[in-house]
Amino acid sequence: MENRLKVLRAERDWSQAELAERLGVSRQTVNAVETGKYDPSLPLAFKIARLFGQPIERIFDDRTHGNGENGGAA
Amino acid sequence: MTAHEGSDGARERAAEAWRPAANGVVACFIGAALLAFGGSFAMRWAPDAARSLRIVLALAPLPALAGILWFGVRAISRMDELERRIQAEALAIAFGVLGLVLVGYGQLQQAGVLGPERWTTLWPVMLITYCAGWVWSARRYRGA
Repeated sequence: MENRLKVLRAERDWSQAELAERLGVSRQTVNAVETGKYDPSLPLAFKIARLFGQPIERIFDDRTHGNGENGGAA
Repeated sequence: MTAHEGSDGARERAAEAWRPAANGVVACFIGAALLAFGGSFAMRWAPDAARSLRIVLALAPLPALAGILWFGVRAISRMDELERRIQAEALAIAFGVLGLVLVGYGQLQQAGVLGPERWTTLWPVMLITYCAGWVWSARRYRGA
C-alpha cells in the first residue's frame, strides 16, 4: 500500500525520529510504513491522519497494489 | 531520510525495550544455571536423598526460568505494533523449527540411530532459531 507519509513529514521538516515520537512508535515503524514495507494498523493510521489533519484516504492509497493484505513486507 | 535511519532506529528501539529487562533476564539466567548445576551436584553427592528433596532440587531452577519469561513478556508489551509483529514472527519460526527438530529426533530415535533425548539441549535450538528469526523478520521491514 502506498502512502504520502514521507511527503507530509518532509513538508513539516520532521525527521523520522520526530514523527515516531509524535506517533508513539519506533523509527523503524515510521521507516517501514514510509517505504511500504509495513501497513499500519487502523488505530495507527487514524493517529497519523489526525496528526497531519487529513483523512486516511488522502494519506494511504491501496489501489496501487490491490485491496489486500496488511503488512506487505517483501 | 535514509533506510539507515530506520535500521538505526530499530536497533535503538529494540535496545530501549529490552534494556530494563536485560538485567533481570541475565540475573534470572545466572540464577537458574547456578540452581541447576547446584541441584545436579547435590543429587550426585547425595544420591540417596529423600524423594521430596530430589523433587525440590530438580525443580529449583523453574522460578528463575519463569522470571526470564516474565521479563520477556514485559519487554514485548512495551514494544510498538511492528516490533510485536517481528517478535511474533521470530517466535513462530523458533516454534516451527523446534517442532521439526523434535520430529526429526524422534524419527532417528525410532530408527535406532540416536539415543534418549536430552531435553536441556533444546534450549539452544530455541534460542538460536528465535534470534535468527528476529534478524530475518526485522530485515523484511527494513526500508529499501
